[in-house]
Amino acid sequence: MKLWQYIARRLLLLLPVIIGVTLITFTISFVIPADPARAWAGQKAPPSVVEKIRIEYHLNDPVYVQYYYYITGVFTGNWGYSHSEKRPVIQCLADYFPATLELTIWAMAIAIPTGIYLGVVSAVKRNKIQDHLSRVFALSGVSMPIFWLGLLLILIFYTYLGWFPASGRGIAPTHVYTGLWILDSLLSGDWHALAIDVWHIILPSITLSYATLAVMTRMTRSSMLEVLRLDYIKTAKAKGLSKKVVIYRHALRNALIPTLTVSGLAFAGLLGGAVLTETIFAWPGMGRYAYQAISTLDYPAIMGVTLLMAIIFVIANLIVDIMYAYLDPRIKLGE
Amino acid sequence: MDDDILLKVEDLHTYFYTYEGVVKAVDGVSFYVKKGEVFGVVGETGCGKSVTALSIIGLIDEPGKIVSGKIIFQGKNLRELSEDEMRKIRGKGISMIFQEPMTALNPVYKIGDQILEIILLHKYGIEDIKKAPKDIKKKERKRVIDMLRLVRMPDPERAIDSYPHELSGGMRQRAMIAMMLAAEPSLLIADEPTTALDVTVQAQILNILLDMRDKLGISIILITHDLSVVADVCDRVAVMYAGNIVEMADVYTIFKHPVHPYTRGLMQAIPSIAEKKEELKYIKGSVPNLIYPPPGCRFHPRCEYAQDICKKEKPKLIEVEPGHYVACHFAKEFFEKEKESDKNE
Repeated sequence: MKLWQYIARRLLLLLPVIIGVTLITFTISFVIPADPARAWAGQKAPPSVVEKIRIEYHLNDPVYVQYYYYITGVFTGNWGYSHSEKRPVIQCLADYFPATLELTIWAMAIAIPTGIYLGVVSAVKRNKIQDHLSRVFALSGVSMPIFWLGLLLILIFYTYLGWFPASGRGIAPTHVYTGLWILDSLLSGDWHALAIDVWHIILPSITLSYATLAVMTRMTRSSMLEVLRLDYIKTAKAKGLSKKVVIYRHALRNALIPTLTVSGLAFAGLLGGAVLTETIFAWPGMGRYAYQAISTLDYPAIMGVTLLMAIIFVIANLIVDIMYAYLDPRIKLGE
Repeated sequence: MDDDILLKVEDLHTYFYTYEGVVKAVDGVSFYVKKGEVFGVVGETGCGKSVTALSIIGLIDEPGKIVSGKIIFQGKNLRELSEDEMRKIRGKGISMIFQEPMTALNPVYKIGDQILEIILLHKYGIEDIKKAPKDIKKKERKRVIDMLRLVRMPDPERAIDSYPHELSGGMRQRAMIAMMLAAEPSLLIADEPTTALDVTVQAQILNILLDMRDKLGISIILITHDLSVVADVCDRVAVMYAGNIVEMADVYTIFKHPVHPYTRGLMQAIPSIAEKKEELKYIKGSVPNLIYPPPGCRFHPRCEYAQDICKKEKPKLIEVEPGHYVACHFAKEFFEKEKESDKNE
């Protein structure tokens, strides 16, 4: 099977996923005892206004008719109207998603190499001081609440030392192409915005990366320890290869396979789950939007965020599967 | 005579420092390997065969350590070399193949690349295949195919671009041999190279090893627990028991006149079609715990001839006839008896 055929087949699977996810979110929003028309119109709006909203948005129709309107909207790009933002959901997502994507990319760029490196060092120097230190570091990462770490970093680096800013994304570059401000400021040559934006992303990305970094360290350590015991490592040493080549070429590539799974899922998870980090650092991303949508009963927004998350998870899994086949020749796609 | 000797191991002690205590896996082993010969090391599982081999090539991992002894290879004591110097010996001077061809090759790289790696390393000093110049790679690819052909790999042009999982066990062991001989070592240590293979494939692999010895002039240390393998291919043999060599001689002598009670026990434990026996003989008891080995001769708890002296004093390896060494307090007597019974036959 060719790669594009495999990708096409997997992407087709998105259809049932979208229908399934919308069915669930739609049902939940329908059974929750809250009146979206009232929430939208406001506490003090006269009943006639609320009624008008009900009619305009088909809220008086049977549930399957409402679902029909929603699902056809999903496939035609109309994801509903976000009343908390007073504009279409799709526009909000288009605004907030790049901010989250940028933060996640930075967090993963910290977590993946550092986590793998610490895991390798930990495994190679098993039971030595380096191993103990990295294990303590990893353990604190998986057990420390993310909001506490965020507040701690703000306290130290913003309040006491004043080295980094504590909220927002900085300033928009002169031209916005992708919505990833750091990339855009590089593209448009806006060095001033670049410096400010990089400055702003450091603390939130560290906060967001720590838990993932810790998981990566632990995964890499344990799978490295397993691989280092295997015969082909002895073979590689018997060939006369240096320790570095034995570890990084012969052991690591085999040990990376489980780590890859975790990183793929972590990436997808961070894209939608950065609620705490984004709230603490006032980062205008999806997490904060989701939080705002939930607290204002903005159903179309909640459903839109959930749907986007589901799509991201499917795509992230697809990418992980493709990378498996690249790392391990024993894995054939589509079999 | 010393000119012919490729490797000489003198009084080697390799211990493992575990939580339970010090495991004396190899405790005073001495032997030599001549140029161009196949030297067999036989013994039960856990008697220190593999540890001896790994000590020679310098790959004893923690918590193991070579405590004392000399390993003299081509006139150099390997124990005095630095790790960097030792790396130049590994693969080029001494190389090693392992028991499980299924797991001894890296599953994520093509066979050809794994062989190319060792050639590039020892011939050009290039560690990273990706950085090797294209013309060298192209030239050496031919050599890889030649090596695969030498070990009688079926369809070598295809095998070179295969991954290990696409080959059978016997083909993988061939690839392994080709790889470990690609940098033209003078000594190949084969640690149970046929144990994991079918009997028919076993014979093929052993023949390939003998063939390589003849064509490339290498010496081979063949580690096995299978006496029939020894009888087939070895020139000289050392029998190991619980970290010691108990008997060493050329293969003919050891099968014809085994002297040490352990060696005799092993010989009697081979099922034979010619002799009709009621029950197969075996050596009573099991291999001792090497943290607390028995005092004196390590074999004495299982030896039917054991006397008081066996419990107190460790026997030395003595030469009972030229080239025939035995570590037993009663070696001379047993040897005389063997000769006697031989005459009577």
